[in-house]
Amino acid sequence: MEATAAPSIDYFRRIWTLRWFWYSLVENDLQARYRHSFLGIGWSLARPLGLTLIFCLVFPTVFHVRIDTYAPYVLVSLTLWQFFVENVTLGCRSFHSGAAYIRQQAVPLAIFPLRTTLGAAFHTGVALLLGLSVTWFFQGFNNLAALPWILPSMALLFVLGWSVATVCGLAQTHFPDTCYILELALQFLFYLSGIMFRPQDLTNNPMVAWVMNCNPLWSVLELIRQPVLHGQPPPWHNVAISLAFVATMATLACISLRKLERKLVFWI
Amino acid sequence: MAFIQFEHVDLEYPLRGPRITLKEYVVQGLFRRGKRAARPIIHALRDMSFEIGDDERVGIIGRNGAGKSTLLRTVGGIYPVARGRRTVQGSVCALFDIALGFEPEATGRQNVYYRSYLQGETPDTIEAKLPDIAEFCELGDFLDLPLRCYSHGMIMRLAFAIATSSAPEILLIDEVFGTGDLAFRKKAQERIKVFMKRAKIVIMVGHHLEFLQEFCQRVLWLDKGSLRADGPAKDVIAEYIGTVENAPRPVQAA
Repeated sequence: MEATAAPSIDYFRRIWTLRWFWYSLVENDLQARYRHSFLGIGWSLARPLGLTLIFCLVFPTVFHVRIDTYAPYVLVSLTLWQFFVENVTLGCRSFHSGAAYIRQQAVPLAIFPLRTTLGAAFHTGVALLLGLSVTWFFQGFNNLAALPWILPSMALLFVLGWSVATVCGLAQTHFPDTCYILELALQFLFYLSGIMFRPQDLTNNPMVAWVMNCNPLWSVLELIRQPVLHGQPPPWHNVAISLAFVATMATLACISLRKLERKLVFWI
Repeated sequence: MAFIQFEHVDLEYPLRGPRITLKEYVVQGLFRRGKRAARPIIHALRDMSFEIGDDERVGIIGRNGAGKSTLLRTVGGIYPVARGRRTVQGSVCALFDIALGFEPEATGRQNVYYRSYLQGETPDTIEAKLPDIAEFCELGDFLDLPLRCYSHGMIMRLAFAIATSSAPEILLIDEVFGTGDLAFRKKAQERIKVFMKRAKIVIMVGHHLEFLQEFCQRVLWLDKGSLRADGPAKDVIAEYIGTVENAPRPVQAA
């Protein structure tokens, strides 16, 4: 009964066998998050909507863009960004929050970052529906033909989230300052991922625009922004960069998990 | 067929080094001479070899810190072995710290599901067991209240009822008899006897030597992480008691 190492087929089979366990943890997390809150799960919609309203009051004037294109852009971008942020910050605590279970039973540890990613994916899914509605409100139903592109793009984003949560969680167990450093890095990355503005809006700062185009996270976000906001499939160079980025992160997660998983119980 | 085999197993428990500040880290990094100091480790199990087969009831005894619970967790696959070979065949159920891993905001009934899912159960199999669990833990309407409303004794009752509702091939028990009040403790002991009869292999850690002698044919005596004796329960326990009683006592301060 030796534990199988990630990422073997048997390892994923064991994750699937425990599907009821991690599914119930996600369900409990979602219930606990908004317990006793007046809006409840409505905060999934209220938070990105509120931030979008604030941005729309300021930035259309600064960047000289129309509100009917800027509002859907910011809302969809914030939704996807929030997914990434939750995987980084909550991912850092994913193994610590599952410590009681890890000390009880030999389970594949990848289920704990998976719990984080599934919780974040739920909120992102709800908020993305709002993003679609806002886009339809301002721009009509021109994007319907391109919407099937969202599914593979979301799958890729999910793999990225799971990988990021795993790597961050493992790093946090060995280096407890990881979370603070990453929170700082996220502030920087926020401005380089085109959440508030697009590279073409930065006509007076081509250097920043160029750096944004080189940011692989920008390409991943474009996989969903292009079909939702412009009704067209994502450009192939964005697809290629995204695939390479996600593959790199997934490989890093698998290698780190394979190397560190068995001894992780000593560090939590 | 259930089977456990340990061949020259060593287990090393790494510890975090002393916490240093960023300034110390940078200074040490810049001016370090020679090799970095080795990370401190505890050699928790040393050269452990034994086999346990079907229908064996094995007790583990030893002083505090002898490695009893560590051995049990190593059998359960929770701790990785540093050297040697561990072979465990059969489904394992571990009753370690049974009150660990409960969700305080979820109801008792929801926690029954969570804990059972962790043991690989499905909604259908839990549904069938739920009446038995509810009846045994005697929590009544409390079962539908959040766990944060429970007393420690009530949580222990629930934990014990859930843990003993499965039918594993290998059962690992670590001192779980302090559960609830006196009446419930007696009930728990009866239930654990039935539970132990269902399992093919039972390994239990305890300081309750009479109970171990009654239910185990064989006892492993651990001393400072090593196997000091392995034999019939009566003989090993008698030898252990003799050693403890003859051990020199620390000098009392005047």
